[in-house]
Amino acid sequence: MNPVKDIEYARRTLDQLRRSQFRIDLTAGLLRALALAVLVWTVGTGVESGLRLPPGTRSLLLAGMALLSVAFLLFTIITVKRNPRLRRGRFAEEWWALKLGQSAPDRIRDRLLNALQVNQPHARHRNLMSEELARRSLYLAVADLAGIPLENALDGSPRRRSLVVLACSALITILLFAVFPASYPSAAGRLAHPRTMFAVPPPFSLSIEPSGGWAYRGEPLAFTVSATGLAPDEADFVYRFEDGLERSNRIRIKEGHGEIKFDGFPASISYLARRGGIASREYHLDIIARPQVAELGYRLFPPQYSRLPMVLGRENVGDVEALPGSRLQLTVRATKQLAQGWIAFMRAGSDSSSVDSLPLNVSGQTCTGRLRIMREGSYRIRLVDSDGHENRDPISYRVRLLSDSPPLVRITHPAEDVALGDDMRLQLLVEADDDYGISRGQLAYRLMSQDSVVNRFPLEFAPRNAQAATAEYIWDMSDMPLFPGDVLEYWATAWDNDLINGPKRSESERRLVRLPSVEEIIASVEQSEEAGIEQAQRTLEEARNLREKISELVDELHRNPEFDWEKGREIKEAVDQQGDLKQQVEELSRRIDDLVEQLDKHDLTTLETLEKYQELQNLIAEIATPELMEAMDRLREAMDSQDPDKVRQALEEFDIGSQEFLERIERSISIFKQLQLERKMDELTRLTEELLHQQEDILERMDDLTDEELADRASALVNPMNAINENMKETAKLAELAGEATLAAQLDSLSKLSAERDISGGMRRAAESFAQHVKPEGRASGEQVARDLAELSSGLRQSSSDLKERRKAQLAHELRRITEELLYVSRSQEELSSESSRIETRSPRYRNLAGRQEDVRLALQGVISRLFELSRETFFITPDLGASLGKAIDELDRALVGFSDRTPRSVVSPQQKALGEINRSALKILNILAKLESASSSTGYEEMIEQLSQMAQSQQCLNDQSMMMPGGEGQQMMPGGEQLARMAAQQRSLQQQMQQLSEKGQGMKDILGDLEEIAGSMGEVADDLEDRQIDERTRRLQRQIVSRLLDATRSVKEKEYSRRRESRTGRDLTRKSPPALLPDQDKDKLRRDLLRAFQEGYTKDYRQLIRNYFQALERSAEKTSR
Amino acid sequence: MKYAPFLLLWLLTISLLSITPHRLTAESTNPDDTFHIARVKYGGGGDWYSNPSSIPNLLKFIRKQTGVMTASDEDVVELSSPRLFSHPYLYLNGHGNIRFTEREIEHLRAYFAAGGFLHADDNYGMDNSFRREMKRVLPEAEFVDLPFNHPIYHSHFNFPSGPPKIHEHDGKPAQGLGLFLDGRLVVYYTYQSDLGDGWEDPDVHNDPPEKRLTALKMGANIVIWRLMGGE
Repeated sequence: MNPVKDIEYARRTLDQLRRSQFRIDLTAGLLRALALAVLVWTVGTGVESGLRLPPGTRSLLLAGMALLSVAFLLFTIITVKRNPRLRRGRFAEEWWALKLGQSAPDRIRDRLLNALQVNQPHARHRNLMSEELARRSLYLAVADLAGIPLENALDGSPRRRSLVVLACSALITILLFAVFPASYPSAAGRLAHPRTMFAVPPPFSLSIEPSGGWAYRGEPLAFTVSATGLAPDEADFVYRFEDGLERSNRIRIKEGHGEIKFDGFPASISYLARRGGIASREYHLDIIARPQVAELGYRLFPPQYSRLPMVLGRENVGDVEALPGSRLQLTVRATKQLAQGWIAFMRAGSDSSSVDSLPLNVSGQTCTGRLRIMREGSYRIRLVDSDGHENRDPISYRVRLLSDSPPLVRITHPAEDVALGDDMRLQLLVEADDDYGISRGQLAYRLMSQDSVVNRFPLEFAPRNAQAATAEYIWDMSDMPLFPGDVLEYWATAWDNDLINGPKRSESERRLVRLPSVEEIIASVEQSEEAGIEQAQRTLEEARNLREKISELVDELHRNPEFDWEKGREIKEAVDQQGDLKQQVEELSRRIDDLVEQLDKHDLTTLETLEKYQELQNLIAEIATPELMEAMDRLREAMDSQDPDKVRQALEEFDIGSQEFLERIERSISIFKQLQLERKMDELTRLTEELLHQQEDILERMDDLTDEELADRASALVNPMNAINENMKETAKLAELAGEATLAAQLDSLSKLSAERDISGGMRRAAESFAQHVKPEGRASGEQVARDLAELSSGLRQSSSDLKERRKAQLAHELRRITEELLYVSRSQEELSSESSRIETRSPRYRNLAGRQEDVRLALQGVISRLFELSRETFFITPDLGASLGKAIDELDRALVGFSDRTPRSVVSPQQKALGEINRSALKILNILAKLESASSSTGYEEMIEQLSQMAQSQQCLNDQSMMMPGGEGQQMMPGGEQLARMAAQQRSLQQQMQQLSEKGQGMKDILGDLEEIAGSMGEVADDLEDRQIDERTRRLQRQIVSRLLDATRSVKEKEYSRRRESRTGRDLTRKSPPALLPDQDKDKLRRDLLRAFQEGYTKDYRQLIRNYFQALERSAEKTSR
Repeated sequence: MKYAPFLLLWLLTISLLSITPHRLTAESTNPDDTFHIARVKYGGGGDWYSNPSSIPNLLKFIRKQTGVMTASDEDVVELSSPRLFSHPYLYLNGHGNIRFTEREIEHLRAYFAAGGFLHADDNYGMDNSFRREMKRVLPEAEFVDLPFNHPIYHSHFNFPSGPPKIHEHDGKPAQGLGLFLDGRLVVYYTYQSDLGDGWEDPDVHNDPPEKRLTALKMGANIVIWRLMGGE
């Protein structure tokens, strides 16, 4: 225990506390002074801000503020220095000892203070206590100090409070500066330069956003003008281009801000905002151009199949219409140097995110690219320039796909369902159209009677790949297994040439072609014929009535020459009726034309009869004579003139014309009926031969066909055979009615033959045998039917030939008689003319000669009447013959007038003329006779057919006899040598005939085949017969001979029936006219118009006028072309 | 050779005079004032002489039906001959190959340019070589299928369906094709028609009379069209 040390220790501790508190208080005081100074300065700044003090005042303010700040500082220091707790000394020591004790009341309390006080050397109570105790108290108090935290005795709150005050004052200052950013900082600035004279600041300031930089040319741009201070209501936005052009726009300022928008600037600008004298800073905006498409061009290459030319797109028009598969070649020139470019293709109907990009080849400002167009959509050209700027909102170009429609195909010929002709050929004309071309075609067909498969064969369209193509095809169905009554459905298919999406096809309408049965054909032909005859008879009846009416009118006009309205009406009616009759005749002519076509198509008659029908048609076409038409015209003109004499005269001419019209109709009907019989005979013959041909075909193909097929074919013959039987009976009746008793008898006989042989029964039996698979019986029946049919056909042919020959003979006989009479008239007239030329004017013989002249005239009239009657039966008597004789009668009438006038000159001349006409007529009749005779000699085919037919029959008889002989395989000697010798002789005779025929028919080898070979076979058979060796080979040879003879007969017949076809004569094919010529190839247009004008049937004068007109036109055209 | 243009001009004048309308009158009695058809004698192996009776028959038919004074027989002319230019109307037919020499080609070209006319008639088999040779003569010209309203089908007789089909060959329809030079029809080519066969004597092909008549009528039409100054 060392009291000195203890007390020093205690005092040192307490001093330490005092100094710490001094620092705290000093710091707190300084902070407070600082806070006050800040406030002073803030207030001063506020004063400056509010009052904008002049420099002197401002300096005073500044000095005041500085003084005040220093005063606060000094006050703080003084205050702290003068604080007794903080001043060194006994008071401070004891205060802090007490303070320390209070901070540790449990341990020290006031004991330290007490220890210090008792250990004071000059303490008042020192003597009252022991030293030891004083030291001891000190010791204990110091000991208690150990471990006591001294800072608990310190008071830090003044410093904290000062800090808060300082913070508050700083906050106030900051707030003020923040709230008044324009005025406070400037005021502070001014205070910082108290002696500087500051100008008065404007009431507001302006600024612009964006404040400079760059923008894209032409793109919208917005500027915001901000005003601070006393913001004006509006300001001007002023901008200036580099070329000096300045423009200004007024902006409304609201709450310190105003905005102005521009659609875009073409060039860089400098800009500022201005209001009164106050302006913002001037800014500069660089305008940069984006890359753009300056030129766009394309070439479109349509797909090759379309054969369309390359399309050059219009400049800067990128819309494309193209066929799928077209290639688009784009060329783009940009406004700037490019870094890259691409085509952005967006498919139609897809969302905008689905874009196909196709890069373009870039070179400088140009880029190119190719695009294959396969779908619709749109595309844009996207460009990026070398500075990285991309074009904005590029134009969207439309891509539209052109549709390639399917082709259109139609069968233009036949235009309707048709019946197949006898030639089994159908001429087809198929037309197809497509927007780009027809590649190929096909004809499909199927048999309607079965659910048969569809057969197809190609159709060749020409020109190939043309937009409009035609296929012409003659469809030969002769090899198809068609039976009468079968119907084929057919249609055409065409494919277009779309190689991109695949050829599209379409089918034509479906048509039917029918193989008509014999019955149908006959019925149709007869119906046409009957209708024709009926119509002709109706026309005849009407013509008769009209004729009577006209005669009455003529009589009436003679009785009462006055021409009134009632007569005019009746005449007009008569003329109209005549016009109707003319139309009826034209209709009749068309009917005959149809009939001829039917006959020709189904090969139902001979060429000779066909030609007669054509003659008939010509005859009918000439019924309405030009004279009658002229008479009608003259009558109309006379009626218009209202001149009774002219009307009467015209009516008389019309009467004559209508009489001729009537006679011609009568003649046509008469000939028509005659032809009907001939036609029916031809038809019968033809049908029978056709049946024979079919029967032979069955026999020939017996080994190739199945029993069912044979049965079908054989039964298919029955109905036609029945039709033939019926037809024969009908024709016999017709012959009876036509006075052809011989023909009627022949037909009756043939009908009986058919009935007795029961040909149709034989056909049925053959069919049944085939159906029951008994082929030998079927063959036997078939062979019998073939023989019967051959006989029937031969008989019919003979009857038909007889009919024609008989008619020719009758005609020739009549003509010869008429010629003799005419020659007699001629001689009489010649004598009379001779006498008349020598007679004197006053001769008493005049009367006698006049009487003889009258006789001659009457005789000639008789000849004319007979000729007229005869003309109803034949075409040979032509109208010019009648006209010639008519002239002769007229001349004779004039001669008779001369006789009555006793003027020799006026007698002789007409007599000579009449004689000339009579002689000419006689010559014409002789010519007709010669023609008739040559016609009867025909071509020699008839004779040959007859001979071959007879030989076939004879050979068949021989064959039958051979079949009756016993024999079989191998050689066998025959009994009955006499019969065999006779047969051999007959065979030898046939061989000789055949050789002769062969020599005669050298020129017809292609038709007849090798007749010599048949003769050779006959020789071999004859040898066998002579050797009395009949075996299977002999019989086979005999069958072959018959077969070949029948073949040859048929060939000749067919040759005659269809001479045109056998000589490979061309068939007219219906064909569409090629397109019109190009203008530079059509120099004949005027000439064509001229021809057409001529065909209108103008008079000669008019034709000349028309010719002049066209010539003038042509000259004018030539001048123009020059 | 310096007189060649004058010679050509003279020949041309003669040619043109020979087709003037006054020759159409039947009354003309001058034997030289008649219409001739010159048959082209060509090389190459084809039978240029085929259908020998055809042209006389056609000429006779024309004389009878139209009153045009015609020669009784055909002339024969080689294309290399100067006589070519005195024939305003040429006829060429056959079955086989046709080959023109360069000189013939030049002549024929000049002949067409001078207003001449050729009727070629495919007798079956000459089509390929004829087309080939005509391409050599008139390289720019293409055969044109004449429309049915062309005056050649209506100049005297009416052929509303174009050229008639006289003989069957390939079953194709008959065609009347034309080659144009400066807008003039200088070659009329009957293809698949075989008019020449139809003009022959009846017993040669045994064609029916009406077919022969049709062929003759068409032949007359071509001649009359030409005589009427058809181009």
